[in-house]
Amino acid sequence: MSTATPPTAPDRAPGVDPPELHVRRMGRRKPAALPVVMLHGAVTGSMASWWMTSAPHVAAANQVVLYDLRGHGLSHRPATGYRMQDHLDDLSRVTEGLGSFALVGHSLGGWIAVEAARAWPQRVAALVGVDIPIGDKRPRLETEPPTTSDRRRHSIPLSATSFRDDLAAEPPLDTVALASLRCPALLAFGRQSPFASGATVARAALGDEAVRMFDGGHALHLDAADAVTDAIVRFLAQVTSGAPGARRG
Amino acid sequence: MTQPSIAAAHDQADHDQADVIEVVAQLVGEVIGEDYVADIDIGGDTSFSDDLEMESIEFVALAEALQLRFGERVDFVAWLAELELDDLIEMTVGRVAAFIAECLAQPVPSPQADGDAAP
Repeated sequence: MSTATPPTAPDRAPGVDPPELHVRRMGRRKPAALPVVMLHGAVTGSMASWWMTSAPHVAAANQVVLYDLRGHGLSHRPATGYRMQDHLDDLSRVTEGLGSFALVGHSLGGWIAVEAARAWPQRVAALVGVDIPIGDKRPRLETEPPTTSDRRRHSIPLSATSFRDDLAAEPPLDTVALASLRCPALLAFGRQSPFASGATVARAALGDEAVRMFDGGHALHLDAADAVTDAIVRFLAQVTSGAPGARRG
Repeated sequence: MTQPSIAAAHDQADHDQADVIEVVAQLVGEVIGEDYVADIDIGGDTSFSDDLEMESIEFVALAEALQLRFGERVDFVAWLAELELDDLIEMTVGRVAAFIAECLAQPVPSPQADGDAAP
């Protein structure tokens, strides 16, 4: 497994090392195409949810970078440090040296992607959010089932960390936050998802053309894997070719 | 030199696949821990999800380990792109081994044939 090397972080409290992250690349770097970083959702998610669905298809045209969010998958699970800024610091480490890139995120991963696009408008060139939490909708943080994998990998369950409290302390995504995006964006929602109401806010902020509905629930990238993959691939191709529909700002 | 018979070629293929199954079993042990596989006789019919209780992220780790072991001749990414999610959930050790054995049986491509190579 490859890991992101912790860079020098002058603003970090001394003695607190950033957690080791499980990072994987798919496909080769292609000069004309943006690298694409894919972020998974909370608790039951890991890079596998993209690795097994859209990532191999996206990797045909774009280099794909996958990683397990801190506390998830094969990445380290610290007891504390799950604020949005912590996730952005991790993403910053993973994308070091990548230049500008596209972000694709499901649920919490999509929320992180939106905050990254707002924080680094020069670097995030395109954004796809799949069933992201908007308004009073929060990432689903129900206690994770005691899985065999978790018993093997982590000494504490995620519910024993500050993960839930840290995310609850973050201001939710709203119209203002989405309207401040400067890159081309595509937001996909599941018609049967409890997060589907976010589509109304997203349309108000970004316009109808930026929002797509698919048949499926919150795990939309699994429920409608083929359709969502196709939408992501087409959107990224549009951004690469500079098609008018894919430009904002 | 005489050509090997079809039966002999089949024997060779079976032998290769058995070797690959052994490697896959060894790497499964490394990924999920020897303690978890100690009581399981891993063979071609062993299912990653039902028998080994492997989770998707551990399957990713196994694929990484197999890629390291067998190199670029085994193109998991292209293989994954062709599989349905259900295929992955029902994946067995034998199916992975057969795929690897098939890749290894292909002639090694010459570097000149690689259109993606950097100039």
